[in-house]
Amino acid sequence: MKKALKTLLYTEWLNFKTEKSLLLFALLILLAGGYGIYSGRAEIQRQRANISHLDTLYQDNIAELKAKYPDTADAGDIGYYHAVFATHMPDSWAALSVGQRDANPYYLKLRLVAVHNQLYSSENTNPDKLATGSFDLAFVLVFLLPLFIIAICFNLFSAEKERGTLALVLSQPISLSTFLLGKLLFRFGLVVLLVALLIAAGVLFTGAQADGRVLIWLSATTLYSMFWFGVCYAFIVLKKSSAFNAICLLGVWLLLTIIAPAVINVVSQISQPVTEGMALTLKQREEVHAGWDKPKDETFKRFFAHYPQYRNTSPVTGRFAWKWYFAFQELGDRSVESLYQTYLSKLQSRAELANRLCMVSAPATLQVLLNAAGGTDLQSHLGFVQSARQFHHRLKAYYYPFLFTDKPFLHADYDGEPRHIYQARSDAAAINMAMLTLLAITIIVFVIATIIQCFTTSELK
Amino acid sequence: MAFVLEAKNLSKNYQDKQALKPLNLQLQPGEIYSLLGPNGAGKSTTINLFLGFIAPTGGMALINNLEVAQHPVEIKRYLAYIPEQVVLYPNLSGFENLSLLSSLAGFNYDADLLNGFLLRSGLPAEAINMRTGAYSKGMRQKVGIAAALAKRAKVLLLDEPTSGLDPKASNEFSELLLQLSAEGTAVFMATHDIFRAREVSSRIGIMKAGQLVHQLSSNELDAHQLEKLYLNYMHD
Repeated sequence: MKKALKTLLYTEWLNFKTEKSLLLFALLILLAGGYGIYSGRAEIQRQRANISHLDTLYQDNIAELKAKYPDTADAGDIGYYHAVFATHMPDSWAALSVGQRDANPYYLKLRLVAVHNQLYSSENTNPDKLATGSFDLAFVLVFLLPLFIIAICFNLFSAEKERGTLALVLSQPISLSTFLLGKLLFRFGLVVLLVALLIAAGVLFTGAQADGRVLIWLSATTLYSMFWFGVCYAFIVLKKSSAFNAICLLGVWLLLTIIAPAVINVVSQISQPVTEGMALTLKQREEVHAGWDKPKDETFKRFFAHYPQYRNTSPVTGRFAWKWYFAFQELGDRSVESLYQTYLSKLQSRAELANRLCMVSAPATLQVLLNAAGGTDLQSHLGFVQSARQFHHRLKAYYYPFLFTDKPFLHADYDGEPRHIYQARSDAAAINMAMLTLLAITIIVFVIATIIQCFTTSELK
Repeated sequence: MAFVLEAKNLSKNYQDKQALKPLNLQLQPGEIYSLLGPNGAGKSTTINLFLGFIAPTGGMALINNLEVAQHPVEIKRYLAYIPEQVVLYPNLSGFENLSLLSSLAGFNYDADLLNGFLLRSGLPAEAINMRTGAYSKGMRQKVGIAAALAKRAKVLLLDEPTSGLDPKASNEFSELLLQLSAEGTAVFMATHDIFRAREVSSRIGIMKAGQLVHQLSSNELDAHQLEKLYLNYMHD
């Protein structure tokens, strides 16, 4: 069997060298992967450039305020007019799997005013562009690689039968299983080689850190390729025509890569509705706006319940004072605290449910895994939003002493202002879960293929 | 004497259709047996049963005393097969195709030996390293013959081997069969070619509607008598 396999592999290599369609498919996947790497890199470079430009904007804003307030300033003026940025720094692997970084904001412009509206404000983006997602290496591996595998496997047996080469080959002392194994092994080796080349090129070209994630990407895509080889094998052993195999395999591809993720999305939204978002925004807005009309004493009384250390602040006598303004902004945020916690927990539950549902679709599972490895998944974004909210707390902790002790804000005080960078990280738990899921799905597919093989006629004619 | 090919009540049904009615047949080493019959008579079904490409409904096929259904891989060490249409890998040369087939058969021939088999089968030397996509039917047939020669098989199964070959190539093929027979190879051949069958075979069987209706030694009748006998069966 070993010698026969060696012979078959060598023959497949000879055929591959001269078979233009196979070479063309391999070249196409390399080109698509190359463009995916380039495109993902361009997107993350654009984000990095925008993030580094934020510092210039920040410094310009400070320079403007210094010019406007040449000596000292009321901290309320600074808190209101001065914008600081919370930034979600991409991981070095983000370019290979852009994930949700193109859909969610990767920086937030924050002021001292109520935070909740600021956390969910982002730039308008073309929804069509968002729907298609980024063309990155992960896209090529998740969506196009299965097509390549199908293209090189769908007629692996049927073409030999239809062409007539099978009779002569199988009149030699080798079993059909060995013959198919040889052909599948060659193709599998070719796919693994192409994927490894693409991952290596991706790491080199995007500057992704050559850490354990190289192995994670390689293992996950190898398992994923095995899954698709298993699917192809299940149809090959049915011994139907090339046309039948092609139609069925494309149907499976459509079902698993397009329909299943869409259904998962819809099911997770229906099963785990998150209605608190709108309620939260409206409630906070109403509370803040109502703050203008409420008696100042009542506002301060409620504010001091949370910040008793400022109870001795000087009383507000005029119609307007920044400390009163920021007090009711603070109360606006606090009024939606429980709604916000519910909102966050429901988002988290929905994300977890979606990840669990992904088990029915290997493409969705691989996408979850690659996004988790690059820190570009929803979890990473939620982590960033949480971190931005904590940053807003730090801002308040910095500015409130100025406001509530009537301390003037000096030019030097800009230097002490807190800054924010949230570094995206890979999510080991999500990676492990997705890897186990991929392994389980792959085993299931091969078990199904073996059962089909057992129940299919062994006759060749 | 031991038989190298044997059918014991071998039969094959496809749903309600009886493609091969119980067949009993034995071939000794060096014997050439031709199976005559019209299309659909069951000749190819018989060959496919000996190859293990299809499973028998009843009885058994044996090659070198091994039951085909029980030893589907091992029996192929003892037989070589040349189909009506030898289809090779078109992107590979005749040499590479032969190298593949003989290697799968378990042989490690060097280039000289492989070239020798191809030349003995009658393939022109200049065609040996050409892609077989450019070969004529006859040239492909010769690579099939070379593969059979290289396999040094005890049994040669031929399904309409001379169909589409020109008279010269058919004649060369007949000579080759006689040589192989002299070397001890048993040949089981399904054919329409009554004259060629009469010329090379030691025994001839006539098959009709899945049944072996007549068997005779080739020296019992001349070619014209054989043709008449054959046509009589076909008109019944």
